[in-house]
Amino acid sequence: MTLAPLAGAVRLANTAAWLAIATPLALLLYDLPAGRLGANPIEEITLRSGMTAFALLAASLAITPLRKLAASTTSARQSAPWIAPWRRRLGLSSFAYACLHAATWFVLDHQLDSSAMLEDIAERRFATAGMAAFACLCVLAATSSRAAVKRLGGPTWRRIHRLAYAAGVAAGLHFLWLSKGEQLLPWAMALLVGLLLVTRVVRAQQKS
Amino acid sequence: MLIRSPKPLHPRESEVTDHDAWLSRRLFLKKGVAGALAASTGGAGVLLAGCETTAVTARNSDGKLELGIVKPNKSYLLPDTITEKAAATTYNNFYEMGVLKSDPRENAHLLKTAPWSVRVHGMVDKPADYQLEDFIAPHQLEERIYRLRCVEAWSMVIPWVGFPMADLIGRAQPTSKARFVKFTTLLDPSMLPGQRTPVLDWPYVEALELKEALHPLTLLTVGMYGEVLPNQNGAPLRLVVPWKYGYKSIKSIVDIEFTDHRPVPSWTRAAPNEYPFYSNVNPSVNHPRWSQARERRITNIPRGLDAIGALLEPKIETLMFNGYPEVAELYRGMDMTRLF
Repeated sequence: MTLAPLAGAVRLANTAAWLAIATPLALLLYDLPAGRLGANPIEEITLRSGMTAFALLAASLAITPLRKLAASTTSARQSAPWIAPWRRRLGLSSFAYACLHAATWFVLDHQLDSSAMLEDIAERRFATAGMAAFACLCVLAATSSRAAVKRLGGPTWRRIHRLAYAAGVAAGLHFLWLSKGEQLLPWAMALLVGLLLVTRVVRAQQKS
Repeated sequence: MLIRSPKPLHPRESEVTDHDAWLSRRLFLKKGVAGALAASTGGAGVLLAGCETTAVTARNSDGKLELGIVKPNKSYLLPDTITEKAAATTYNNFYEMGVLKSDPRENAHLLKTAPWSVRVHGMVDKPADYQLEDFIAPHQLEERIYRLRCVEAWSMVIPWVGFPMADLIGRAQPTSKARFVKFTTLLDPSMLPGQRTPVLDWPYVEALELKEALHPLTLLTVGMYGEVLPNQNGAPLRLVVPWKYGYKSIKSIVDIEFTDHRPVPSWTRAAPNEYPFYSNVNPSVNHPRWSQARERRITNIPRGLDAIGALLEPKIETLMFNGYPEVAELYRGMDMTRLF
């Protein structure tokens, strides 16, 4: 393969992708002292970090279908190798924003009041779903290294990492259930996750 | 949008009250208030300067509603810090203008509040279609500082300008059959773009029992912070019912109907288990979405180091009936766990 002319472009694309991932965090850090998070900064941080985590998770789930799509066209085949690592990078980035989201909720909103937090998780379905999504992301992050793949073995690792879809579904329910009235955005996100899940199931059936 | 021709200009009984008689009543009130203030411990509420002048409501040459200088009602002061106007006018739930807190401020310019008509009808002896200025004119505007508690577990402290709903009820003269008052917001997606999306069943409807509407705390509101209501806060006419969750305080009202059957408010229709008819602030009822035991008090838009401090600020305890225990008599004998 003659990747040399592409190497520079790949580096540029990777840098751009990392910048895009870091932008919501940078904006939060800039907007907070500037007063641009508004009258209720805790709510705004929760909202933005949650949205970013969800979007990055969906992007991570979209990587494999995108690779398959790219592989089906000759010209784009060469780009597939640089796309592949982004499944993990986007997944871990999603986990990082989910940590910020959960920490904002636990430390800032609930002021470390674990009984109030447990009450939320036990009695409010949006919190139950959110915590389920976060638990899935924790397992995924903890088993994301190459060493973990080796230790667990390919088939077991792949089974565990189907949790990414469970996280997507749980995050979708979390967003739908916390939204008041019938809102467009949570339904759009749920639809996206649903589509990604369907393509995954179709792929699995084609293999078997 | 409903289009109605303005009523012909002729004075009403309330407009032709002898000026001296009216002024002496004002002086009597002022003396009484001064005595009450001297006896009180003195709240930290910010009062508007110059309470000597009368409240005048009129349209200026641009058709904008103008309030005269409004007297604070010193029975409704609070020790709480008043929320800064900048916070109360940029952090709003007004789904007719969008679902984000910042949307109402951004879409506010689309709402045109002049001319504005208000229909009072149903089981009343004096039904009428009013132009807004005629609707307000006979009533004595006053400033009251109230807590506003949102069901999303945040709260503000706002100086409203309005007149008691009971005064309007006295003017409309409901029949003996009337038991509920139904309020409806303007339906006009060109001015209220949120109505283009099916977030709720538009137009927004809210309702009170007649005895709740008659309670002296229930305020028909035309202003805040000494000025005409900003559009994002429900201009030009809204309700403020301080012992109930914020969504009961319906905004941009065009229709007030007296009825004998209990209306179904918009949020109650959308989710009856979350937003029941009464929706009284009650910290002990376990709401399916938010714990109502505590609330985040919003006082300003924090900046700089203040913003860091605001992140660490704990919530405060929510009070039964939002700290207005005098309304408890309205609900005597009712199941408090079903009341929230």
